[in-house]
Amino acid sequence: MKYIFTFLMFSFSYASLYAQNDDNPKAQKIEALYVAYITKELKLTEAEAQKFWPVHTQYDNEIRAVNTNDELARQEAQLKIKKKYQDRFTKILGTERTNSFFVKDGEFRKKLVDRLRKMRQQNQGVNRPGFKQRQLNQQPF
Amino acid sequence: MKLSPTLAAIPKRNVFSVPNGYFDQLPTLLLLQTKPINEKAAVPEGYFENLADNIMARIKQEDLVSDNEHSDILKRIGNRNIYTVPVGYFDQLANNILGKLFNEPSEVLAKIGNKNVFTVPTGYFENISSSIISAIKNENAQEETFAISQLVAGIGNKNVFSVPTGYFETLATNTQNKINQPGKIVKLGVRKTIIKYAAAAVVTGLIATGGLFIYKNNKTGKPSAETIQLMAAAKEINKTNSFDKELNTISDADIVHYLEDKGQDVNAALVASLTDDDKKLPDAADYIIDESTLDDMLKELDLNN
Repeated sequence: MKYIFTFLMFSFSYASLYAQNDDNPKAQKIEALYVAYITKELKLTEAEAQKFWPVHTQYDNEIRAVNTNDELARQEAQLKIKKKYQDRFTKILGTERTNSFFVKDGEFRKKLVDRLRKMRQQNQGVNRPGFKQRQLNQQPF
Repeated sequence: MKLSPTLAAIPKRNVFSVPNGYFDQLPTLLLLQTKPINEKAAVPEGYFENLADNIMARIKQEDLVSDNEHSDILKRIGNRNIYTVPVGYFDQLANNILGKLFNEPSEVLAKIGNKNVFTVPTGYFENISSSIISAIKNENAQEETFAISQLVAGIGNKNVFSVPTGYFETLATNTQNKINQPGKIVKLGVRKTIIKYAAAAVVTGLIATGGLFIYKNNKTGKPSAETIQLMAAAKEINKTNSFDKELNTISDADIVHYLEDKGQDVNAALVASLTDDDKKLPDAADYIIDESTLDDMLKELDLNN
């Protein structure tokens, strides 16, 4: 009985260690958008997607594991991971589209940031009546 | 409640009645009626004494009748013995059979006559033992044994089974001594328990590591269930061209959570996003025209709610 208990304890601790993938449905939605964006931009075929996304999952796990507040250290660590995966991506996508992947990967995030910025700017416009929204296009000189 | 006309027509009196004293006499009457029946049921005298004989006689009679009914032949036969042999049949039987055998010889036997047809070479039986032995000796026994088992051939004529000298003489005492040795005393202590737990932990660890290994391998080999789900969702988004629409439904907090999860400094990214947008930056002239331009700009940059 005691052994079973010990066994279960260890099993659960392992399980919880590796069950930290995002189960959040909203996060899943953004992930789905990401997959959609990359698939479209790189024109991935079904067969390519089948090979590419499992490798990407590993890549993504490593990227997310980088944990530092030092921006340059973060960039350096992520760059190392990107270089490590470059060959594996190239085998599936070819050189050109692998380059394209790293560009588009950044662009997707930029889209999110833009969306975030716009949301916040709108909120500021509404929430702060005294704030003068610059109407650049209508600005007469 | 209304009574039916028939019931209503009946006057209100008891129409059921018995003769006077009916129930008082009833038992006696019943007894009187049963008595004659008892007398009728009496058995004739000597009935049981002859019963067995009567039954047997009946059975015999019926047997005969039914047997005869079964077969006309049996009926005709009656009680006669129909199986017969000629007089003195069994007395003559042996002689008859022998006589037949001798009086009718086969053609082959007739040709042979009285000659002895079975012969052996001269001196056959005198030499047979020596010839068998020599035949055995001529066979290469060594070679044959070798073919069957190399080990046995290698042994040859030697006696390979031996015991050390005096083995059986000392066997009894040796065995007895060994039996009399005191058994090992095993202590059940804390250390043993710890070792057991440690063993359990190690086994669990091995299983978990193995499982993890398989899990990781699966991850590289085939898309996981999660990935398949994502791919399906992505396909739907691309099919319906709803990327922008879906993007607009995502909340501020979710985007921040996602970006931070990927290691991005959201605030820095926001500022970068703002400055990327050329139109957002004021012209040099703006600063001259409107003195609050810089303040507005800075306020706008301050996007951290």
